[in-house]
Amino acid sequence: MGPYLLQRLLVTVPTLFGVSVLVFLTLHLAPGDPAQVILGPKATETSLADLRRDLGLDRPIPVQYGRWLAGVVTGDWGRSIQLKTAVLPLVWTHFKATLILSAAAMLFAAGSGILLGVLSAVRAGKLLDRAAIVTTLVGYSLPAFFLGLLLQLAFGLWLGWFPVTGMYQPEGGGVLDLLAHLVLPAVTLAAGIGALIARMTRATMMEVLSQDYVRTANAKGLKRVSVVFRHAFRNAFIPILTILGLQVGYILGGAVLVEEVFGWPGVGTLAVNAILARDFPLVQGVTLLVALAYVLANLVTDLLYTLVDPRISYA
Amino acid sequence: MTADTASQTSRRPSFQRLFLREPVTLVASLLLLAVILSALLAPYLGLPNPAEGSLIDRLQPPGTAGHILGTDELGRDMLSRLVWGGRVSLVVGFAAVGFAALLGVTLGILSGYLAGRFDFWVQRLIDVLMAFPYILLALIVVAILGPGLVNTMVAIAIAGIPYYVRIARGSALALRESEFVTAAQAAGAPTWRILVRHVLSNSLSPIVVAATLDVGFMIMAAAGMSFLGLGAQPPISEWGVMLSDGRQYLRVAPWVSLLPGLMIFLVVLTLNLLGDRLRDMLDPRTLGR
Repeated sequence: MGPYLLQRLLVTVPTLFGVSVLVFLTLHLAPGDPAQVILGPKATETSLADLRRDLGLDRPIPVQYGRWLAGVVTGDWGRSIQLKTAVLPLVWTHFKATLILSAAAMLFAAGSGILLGVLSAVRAGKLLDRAAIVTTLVGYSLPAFFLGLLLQLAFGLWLGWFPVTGMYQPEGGGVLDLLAHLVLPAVTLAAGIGALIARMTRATMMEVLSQDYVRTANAKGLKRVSVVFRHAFRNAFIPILTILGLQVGYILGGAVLVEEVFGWPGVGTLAVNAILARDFPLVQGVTLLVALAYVLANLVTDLLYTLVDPRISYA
Repeated sequence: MTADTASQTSRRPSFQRLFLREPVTLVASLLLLAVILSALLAPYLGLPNPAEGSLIDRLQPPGTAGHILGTDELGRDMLSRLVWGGRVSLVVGFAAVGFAALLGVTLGILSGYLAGRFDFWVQRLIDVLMAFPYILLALIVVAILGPGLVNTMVAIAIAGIPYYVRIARGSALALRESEFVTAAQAAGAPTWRILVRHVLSNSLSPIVVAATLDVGFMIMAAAGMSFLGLGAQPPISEWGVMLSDGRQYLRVAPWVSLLPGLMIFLVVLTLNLLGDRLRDMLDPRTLGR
């Protein structure tokens, strides 16, 4: 495990370097003078010169990158031009909201997706399986922003069961208030991913259920539940885990849209507002943090393999 | 033909069986065809101007005389806007897939076939691009280029390139070791000819399936970007913009948002269904299942 961990971390370094270069270049790849891009066509020469000096834009690009990277490492992620505040605390506060939403969605998607996939595989060709296939097809064809509206309309506006926007009531609330606000956005975000997980789980389980050792277990007269969960599911879990790991990116990306629908104060809403305001330090902060989280999630998924399946040894 | 291959061939799901004899697939094909035809023929259908409306007629419900699907907040005809919106959404979806597939497949096949340093650097680039969730990568490109319909199309296409690079590279890696490629090399065929006639042509099945499934995804992504206010801008009739504009009238006039949302859903659903069927037809692993 130790050498593999080191090796895996070393592989991550060039990726992180590439990510940092791409995020840094966001400002410089925009056509025209970066200061003009940020301040717009009506900016005065004085304000342009001030901004160039503040952001270090008057220096060579490698020097600017070095300064920027040193700032990133030491916790100085620059200041938001629009909100006049430090980027890192701002992004971190919003990122926590995104993490809560993403974690809830992932739990719901994984739970419902795996259950549906397993049941579908066990009842392959039967009515339940056909219903599950249709459900998953609908699930991953429904755009999150449309499903979000439908849920808002049905469970928020018509039935009044759940609040339709925000993370807490305006006057503030506790955990129960947070959970009530979380249900609709989490279900919306989970739908597409849960459908994909169900689909992949079904395919993997069908494969495993046709193996000789499963047939042997059945022939021995073991209970169906035991065969499915103790023999088949345990062996299907590695591919399913891979699928779950891959969905982290979809969750983080999909959160952008879902946050917009439900007014959830996460990084998605922050990123969209920053892009519209041409607030590049903030855009860089959001994209860097989300990319770091995504790279970390992939790393954790890889490492989990070794824990879940003792047959896998990377040493 | 041996008995084995003969039986396998007979078990291969045929185009006729998959597309015409299954009612669901047939309905999906017809629905998609109707949307595509109405989008193509929009100027000739005699529909009202989708950008013009009368405030007296604002927020009329579906079924109103003269406005079969009702009107929006500016009194514009919903049916006309949906048909013209389909034109924009379909063009963006297909063009983005075309652009992503062209660049991704070219890069992937070159990377897999040439291997060596070229492959190494292409793969590092793809690793970096894949370190960003899809929508985030598209957002970065929009941040660079600025909001707008064309920029959004370019953004979602660029974000989609890694997907095609991976698929094409995988095929090219396998094919470069095959006997017919070795034979072509031994016969002195130029590299471009081997790439096009042997590698590309034999990699097409997975690429076509991936592209078909990707059109729906790209339509959703483009509509999503417009929904966020970064793609098509009002007053353009585009499904994502329409859905977003109608949100503030959700309580009093839900059809303004729900109808464009339903159109996106139906088109994506039919494309996914047809993509699945196409995969069943072209993927040799489905033989006999």
